[in-house]
Amino acid sequence: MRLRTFLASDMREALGNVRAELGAEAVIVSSEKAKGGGVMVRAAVEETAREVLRENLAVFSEWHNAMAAPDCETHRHAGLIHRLRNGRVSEKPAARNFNRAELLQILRTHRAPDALAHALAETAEKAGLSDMTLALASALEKRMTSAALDLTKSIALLLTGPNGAGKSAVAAKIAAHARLCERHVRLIATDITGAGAIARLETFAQHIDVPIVVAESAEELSRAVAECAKENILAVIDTAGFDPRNGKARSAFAALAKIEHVEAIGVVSACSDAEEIADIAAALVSLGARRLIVTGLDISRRLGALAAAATQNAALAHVTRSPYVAGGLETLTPLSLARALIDASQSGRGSAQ
Amino acid sequence: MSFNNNLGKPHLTAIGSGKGGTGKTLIAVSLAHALAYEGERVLLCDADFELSNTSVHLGLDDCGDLPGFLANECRLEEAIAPVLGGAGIHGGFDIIAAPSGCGTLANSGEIGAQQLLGKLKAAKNYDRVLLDLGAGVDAGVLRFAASSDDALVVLTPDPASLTDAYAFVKLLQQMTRNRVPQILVNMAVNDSEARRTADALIATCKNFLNSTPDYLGAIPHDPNALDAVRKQAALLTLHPQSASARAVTAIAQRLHNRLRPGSAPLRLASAR
Repeated sequence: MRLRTFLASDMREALGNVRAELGAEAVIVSSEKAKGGGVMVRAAVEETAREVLRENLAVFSEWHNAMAAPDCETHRHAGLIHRLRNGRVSEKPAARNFNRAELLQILRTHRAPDALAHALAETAEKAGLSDMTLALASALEKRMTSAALDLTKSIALLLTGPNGAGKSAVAAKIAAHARLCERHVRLIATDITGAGAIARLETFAQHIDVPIVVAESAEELSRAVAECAKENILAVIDTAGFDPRNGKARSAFAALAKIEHVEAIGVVSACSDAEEIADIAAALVSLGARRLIVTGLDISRRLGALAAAATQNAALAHVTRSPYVAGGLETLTPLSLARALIDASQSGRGSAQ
Repeated sequence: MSFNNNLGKPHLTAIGSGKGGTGKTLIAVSLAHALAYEGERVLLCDADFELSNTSVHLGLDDCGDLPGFLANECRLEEAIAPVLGGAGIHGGFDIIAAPSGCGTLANSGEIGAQQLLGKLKAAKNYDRVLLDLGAGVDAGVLRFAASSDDALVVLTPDPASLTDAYAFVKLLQQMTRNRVPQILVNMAVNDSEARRTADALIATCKNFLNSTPDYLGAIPHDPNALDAVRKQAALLTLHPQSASARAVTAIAQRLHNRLRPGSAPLRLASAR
């Protein structure tokens, strides 16, 4: 285990330092106010992860050697091997000149929805920029908005989305971040039917030392939220997974989203079919979600689903790339998404940076 | 009267830390003393084969004959040295150690540990055997911890102590597959720091080992403890009302209560 102690002016800076130094797998083992101001955070990371990477290196090397054709996939594996050999130090890939057919191919490799890929390629071409990344960023900018959550001001965040999107983990991440901003937080569990759903949220709550309440109906939730609002406590509401395209489920969730003070946040996973995610995200938006959080970037090599979610008629609040609570919530701009899409095809880095 | 649930066998409690300098030996000696005040017949065994120093802590000329006992040259009754009147006397206990730096038992490793454990488990005259383990996480140290009835890991707020205590927990868990030691924090300036220190180890174990060690308690940073070490005297005799002595007594009572007939068995902490 590697253990490091970080001194920073605030938690946000400390967490950034933790990530930069120890990576996304790092676990915060303690945090406290530092003497003389600021915070002191102690974080640890197990060596096992790196050992596994070293073991995998041999496998990937063989795989790489077997790939003779200089196509996109080969570049991806070459990039992956390069990353494994060089640890976390990454080299910025060289700029690529804009080429519409090539951009279209890249977007297809990411399994972006066809209509979106064509629309982005066309807008990028019209931008008249010679750099492919900048051209794509320009196209994305016309279709996506970033709007990070302001956890110092939010009152009640209702996390909705399909099963397995990572709503409970996102709830824990939001609660942890809010606590680091010195905001009082309450987790509200509404999934009373899912096997182990409340127990899982309770485990998260215990881990980050946040109280949890259970609301079994819209009325109970309304009361719990009103209480939080009165006491200036951030309510983070975890809900049962559902298909937002299903009419019956829609009406139930629409009622929750209409509760006073509640902001609905759609949560979707990047590890899904892009067309499905586009449909689901659109349905969540129509249910009142004005912002989306996309999870699972750590395990998603193709970013088409991310691009599809980011270009819906809702702002992209955050993305997550770690199952750990300390992994945090990151923001993604059109430029960083464009860079991720282009670079992943060059270097094998499958997740947004 | 025997306090032991083990039907004639002593209860083996191992005290380890991974890192040296955490105050393990002072704790072992003081716990032996405090448990004796609770009425237990205690044998303190210095299981640091290479650099034993329990006798130094107590200013004893005779620390028993651990090498002779291991070599079957003498019986346990002949190999122990009584401290403060010896086991069975209120506040007294027995000790068995190798003379510091004698080298006889150096490199005995896991086999030596196994042999000694077998012999100690047959020590029917005692309610409890406290094993003061050496620093480090070699096979011998881990064997003692793995084969004892319960194990304590001592750590201080020092970050290096956290990593070494974690290594101790991890390797012990790997060796036994399911056992996790209880946490004892030493030298914290206050309860809050002690709890934070324990929580840091618990959080690390939860995340990386999927196990949750129990927090047994803390012994605060106390100049009286240092004074007792320097004067080579028992803490509970020299400064019985000091904060550290009171903390040791409270921990001893906790351990003792779990040993009494009819009380809940010690949770040897399963990984979960």
